[in-house]
Amino acid sequence: MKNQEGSCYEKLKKEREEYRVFARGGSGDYWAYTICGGCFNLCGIRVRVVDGCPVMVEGVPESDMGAQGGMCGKGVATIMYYHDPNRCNFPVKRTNPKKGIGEDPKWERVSWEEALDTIAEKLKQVRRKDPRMLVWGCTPGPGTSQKATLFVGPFFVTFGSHNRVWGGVGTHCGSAPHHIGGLVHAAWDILPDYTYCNYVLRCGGNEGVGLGRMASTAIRQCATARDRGMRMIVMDPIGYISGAKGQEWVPILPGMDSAVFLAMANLIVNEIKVYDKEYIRHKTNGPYLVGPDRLFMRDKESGKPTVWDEKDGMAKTYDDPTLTHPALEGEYAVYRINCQPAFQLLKEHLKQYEPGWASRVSTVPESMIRRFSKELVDAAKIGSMIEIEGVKIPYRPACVVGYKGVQGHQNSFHQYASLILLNSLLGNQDVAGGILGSGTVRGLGHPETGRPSFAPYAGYDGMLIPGMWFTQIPWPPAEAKGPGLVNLVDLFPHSGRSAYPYCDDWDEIWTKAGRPYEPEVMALWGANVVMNCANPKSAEKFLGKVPFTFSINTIHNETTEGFADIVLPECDFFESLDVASSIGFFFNYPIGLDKWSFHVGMPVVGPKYERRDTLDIFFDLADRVGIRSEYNSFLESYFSGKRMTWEQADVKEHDILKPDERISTKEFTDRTLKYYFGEKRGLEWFIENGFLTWEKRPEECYWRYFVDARIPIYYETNERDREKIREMAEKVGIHMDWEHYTPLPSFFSPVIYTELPPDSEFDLVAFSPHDVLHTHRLSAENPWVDEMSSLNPYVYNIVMNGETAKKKGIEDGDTICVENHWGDKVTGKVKLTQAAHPHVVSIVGLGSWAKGMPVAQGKGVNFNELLRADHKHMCPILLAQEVAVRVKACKVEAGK
Amino acid sequence: MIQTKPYEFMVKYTPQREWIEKRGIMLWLAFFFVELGAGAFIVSSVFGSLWGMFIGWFLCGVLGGGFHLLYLGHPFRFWRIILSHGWKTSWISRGLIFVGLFLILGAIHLILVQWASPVPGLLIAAGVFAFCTIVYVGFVMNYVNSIPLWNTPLLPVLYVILGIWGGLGVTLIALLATRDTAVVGSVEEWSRIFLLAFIFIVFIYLFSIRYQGPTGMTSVRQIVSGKWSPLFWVMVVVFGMVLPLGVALGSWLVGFAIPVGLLYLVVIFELLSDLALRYCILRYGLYAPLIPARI
Amino acid sequence: MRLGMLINLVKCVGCYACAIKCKQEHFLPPGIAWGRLLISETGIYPKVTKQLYPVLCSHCKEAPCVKACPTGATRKREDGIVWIDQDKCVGCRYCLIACPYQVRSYYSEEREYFPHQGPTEFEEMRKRLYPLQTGVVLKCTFCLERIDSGIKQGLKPGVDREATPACVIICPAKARYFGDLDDPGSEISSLIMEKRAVQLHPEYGTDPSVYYVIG
Repeated sequence: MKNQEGSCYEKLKKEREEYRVFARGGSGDYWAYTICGGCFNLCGIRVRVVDGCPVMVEGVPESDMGAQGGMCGKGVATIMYYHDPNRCNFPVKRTNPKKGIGEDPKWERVSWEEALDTIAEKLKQVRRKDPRMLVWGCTPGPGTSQKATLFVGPFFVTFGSHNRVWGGVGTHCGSAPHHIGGLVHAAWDILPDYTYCNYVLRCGGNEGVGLGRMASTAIRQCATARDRGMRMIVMDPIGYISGAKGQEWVPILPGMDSAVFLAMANLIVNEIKVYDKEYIRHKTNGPYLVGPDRLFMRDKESGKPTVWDEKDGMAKTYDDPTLTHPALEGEYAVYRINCQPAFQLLKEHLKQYEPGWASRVSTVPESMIRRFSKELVDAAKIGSMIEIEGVKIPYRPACVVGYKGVQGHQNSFHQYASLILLNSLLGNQDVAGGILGSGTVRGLGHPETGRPSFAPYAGYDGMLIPGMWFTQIPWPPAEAKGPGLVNLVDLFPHSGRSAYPYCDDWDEIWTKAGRPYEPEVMALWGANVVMNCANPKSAEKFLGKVPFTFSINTIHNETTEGFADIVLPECDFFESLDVASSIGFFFNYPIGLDKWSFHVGMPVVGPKYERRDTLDIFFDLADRVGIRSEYNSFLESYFSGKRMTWEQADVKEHDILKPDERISTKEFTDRTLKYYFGEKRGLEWFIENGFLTWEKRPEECYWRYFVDARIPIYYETNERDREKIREMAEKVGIHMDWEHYTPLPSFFSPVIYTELPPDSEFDLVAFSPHDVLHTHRLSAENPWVDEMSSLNPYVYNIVMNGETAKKKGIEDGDTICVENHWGDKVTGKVKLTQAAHPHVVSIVGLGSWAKGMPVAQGKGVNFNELLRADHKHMCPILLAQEVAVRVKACKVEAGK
Repeated sequence: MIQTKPYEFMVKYTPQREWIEKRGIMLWLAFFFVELGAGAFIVSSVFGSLWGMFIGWFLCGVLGGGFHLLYLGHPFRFWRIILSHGWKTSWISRGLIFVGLFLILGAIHLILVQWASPVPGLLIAAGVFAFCTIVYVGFVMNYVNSIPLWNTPLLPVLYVILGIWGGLGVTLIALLATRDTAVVGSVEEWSRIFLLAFIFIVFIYLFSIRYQGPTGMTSVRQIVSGKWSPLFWVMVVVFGMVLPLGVALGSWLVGFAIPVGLLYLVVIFELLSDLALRYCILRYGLYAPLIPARI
Repeated sequence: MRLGMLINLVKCVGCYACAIKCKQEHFLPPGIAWGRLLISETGIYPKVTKQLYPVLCSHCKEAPCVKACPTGATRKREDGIVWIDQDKCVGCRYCLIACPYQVRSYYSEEREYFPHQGPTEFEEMRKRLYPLQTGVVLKCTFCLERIDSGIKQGLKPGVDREATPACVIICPAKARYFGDLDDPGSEISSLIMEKRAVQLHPEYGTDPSVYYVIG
């Protein structure tokens, strides 16, 4: 630790001392518990350390947070991240003033003191002028998902900037699932209840088959379910990932799932006529009366939406205690205005979606659409009950599930809303055998302490509000204003995440908005923006203009090398103390009746060189910038359960830390754990025992009928907000199809099919599937992952249908060029398969070039270079990016 | 059709690699020299060429043995091959014993002949082990029942014919070089007989392998019409069959004596053809795909 | 006792946990894999089946590699495990060629995981914890060091994790089972009967100890 002086050196030394206990003196042969950092799912693990060297990783057999002792491949491989000689070990600053893709930063080592002083000075300047001038992004990985939203994000939020620009996940990550999942399940995502489910229609998602939500927990549960005979139909443009594990693979054109879903809903409601009426009646806003203006008919006094009580023959508010039988159909006069229940409107609206039409646009055979509708309804056993541990729960062992592939399109909102609609019709949401919000969103706490406890509740209009959430809660959408944020999320308040400002039209929009300020500081926590945000050139346009960028990383990447001025070296999850990753139960905790399994991210070895832990860095920065009390207050509010969202509670009692306390990460962790589980179960207990489990109660995991709240099948706020958003957006040059702001799930053809004629030479649709081994750009740097990837035909190659290739004169193994209609090109070797739709090209997003990741360099293809990000290629409601693109493919002749 | 990319390993027909690539190339030469040397020793002993026997011993022991040792991962452990009980089941173990005994007995005989008087029966014993040496390579490869190209009784027969035929060639050169021409004509005649046997066995071998299933068929296809097929057609067929046959037929029909230089050339071509054929057999020893696949 | 393994291909998702864990457990160098995942497909669009086969040494009852070994380095134990005594191996690779399942690897030379950057601490640890010689043939050992040390502690292979091969305990889909094939009452024997598990290429006459549930 030469060249270190002043308070930072002392802090570093103190932090090392505090972590020494975890490293057990740095000698010997021991197993230590922590949380896996291979992806964002945070399975519990144990690590073998020999003389300070982590050598082995395994799952924890006694825990349900993971595969009960097993782990997925990328998790096992994480040891190599720790041992990578290219890791960041010391703070560095850029000496090459030129920024841009592929630039050599010419790093020079600096002291922590100098680095933090420089950063703090910039932050203070910005805070004085306008805190929004600080733009920040973060990553959910590796192994850091909850740190992003509970340690990192809140620093910037308490600083005063909501200018979050994500980056690590890519800007389309979960746009619709997180938003609509929040509205409908109070959860970040959804998963089938594998314990009891008998029939799954899986669309555009690969969880349970190696990756995605809940990683090895889902693999374990899904494998057991499939082995006992659970039927899984996979509707996907490619059939070699989750399609390979289903009993049937149904090819479909990307972005056309909503056509099939709406046709199925039409069949279920209007032809088969079997759906869970009681669920819709009492658990959704289906009975809410809608006037001719397509808004709810509200009680004049209370402003609450009204329903028609069939028993009493009158309109009442939805929460009237005398209400018994709200009508789902019919026409009624309220305040002399003709109204209909929302469900009546939905029923009529669905009639236009005929199976024959859906088949034509999606290429899914009509017979299959009809068959799946019937099979779903039959398998759902609507009306049945099951008794679990003495508790009677509705039993609906069938569901529809989907994720990225469904929602990564310009019609994102309606794609996902129509999927969710199917589940609502079956009445299978958060009941036995059906579709569960991932994690468990209702917790009554540990039996001995009753903590941590959280539960969704009814809020605005009786609608479901999550009891805990990572960011601002999704309901109700705020009022549109601005734009005052570079991500334009204030202008589009239904959106939780946005591709802006890494878009080609951002500068023009910002100018039309009057350029309220210019971003001056970019703060990144791991986020490899350049690689993960559509086209690298789009990211470069923005990043290249920000005067100062600092980043906190475990390893250099394309973004730090191209654009960072200062990079701070961070502990990776083998060295990190992280209680943030222990909570977030609505995110990744084992679903269904799997036990509550509370693990803590604990260092298995002490940090080496001058790496520092995340929270310690942010505590230090908060001190220097002068926001420590606000930051502490956030942590207090969230971690003590007073308000587990980014909306802060007004904290009067301090259970974990006071605003003026300058405690370390270790102390914070210890206090949090003791607050949850009692004085005896602080950090020392967890170091010794690793984790804590307790039984889950049926009313926690199958909570739907234990929480009196409703969910939307009619999205009134779309109708309510349309005109205002349209007017404000058009003023700044954003022209979108505002018809998307319709309250009923509808079909909109995504832009990839409308921007070019059907007979265009760009006759293929390229997209990027999620591969089992790769979950971040970092994964290709792992030599074990790299070795296995080279043994997998679908990872480093461009994959296309064999017959399509034959027609183009392309043979297996040829080098081909894939080009979009803007002239962007990528080249790579082709792998021909029968397990791909004839009109698609599938490319796993890799193709690194960073010098700091030599193993990853040149491996695979950077799919994102084919994408363009602008308002024409976004969902008008959620700002979800269209992540498929029209391309053509041709063989590259040798020498060219 | 055959594996070309790492992820096609055992999904498509997979060629063996260890006995032909990198250091494996030494084994190709080792097998060649061991059999050629033993064959030369046998033929030379029958036709009474001491130089031929010595050259045969040298080819087998020094070159053949040397290349074997160069190929091994731990050559200094080779004594384990002899002292372990591997000979009960392993053809390599047996082979080393045969080679060892042949070299020892052969060396003793050569020393006795040169500087003392030969012991009756010693030469026969050496000859028997020399014959076993020629045979063993074929059985080493024949034992591998998952490579159809090798797993045929015709392979040891082919290798015996190659060994003797090559031995005839070496003996011919030894006789010509030492101007010991009394039996050259006889050696030449036997060489032609073995040429015919060689042509016959090669085609019978390749044809029969085709009927051993798709893997065998693919192996043969690769040899005769794959990327390296010129190696077969030029080196094996033209050099090893057409040219020697042409020379022999020409000489028989026209009745002229073949110039010595041409005889040397023919022998060299025949030896190159032998090498090329062994190369093809090693390189295109394919395993069947392990798992179901659309090939 | 004859130790064997069953792999349920219905459950297997092809996550590479087994292959990577094996490399980790035995500190295997780059390019050497004792367990592999073979991927192929059969069928014509859209009726396509992806084939996912984790393969490893089958520890055959009639092991051709044992007979082929000239030095006795490759031997079969009483519990059925076929193992290689590295000190006796001369590196002739006859066993590698003779194996119909091609599951053996020849360790020709040392290579680093991060080329030109020296061995990592993990690779240095190999020399202490699991030394491997170059110039010899290596293969899956059914983690016999785990089995042997587990049995010494009174643990049961296939039941207790510490006495069970690493690839079995790490599988997140619980697709792998391990136990005594000679015990008709063992879990693996029952599953072989119940699920009608098959061996790979029985026509080679090897009687492998690894079974597959095709589904």
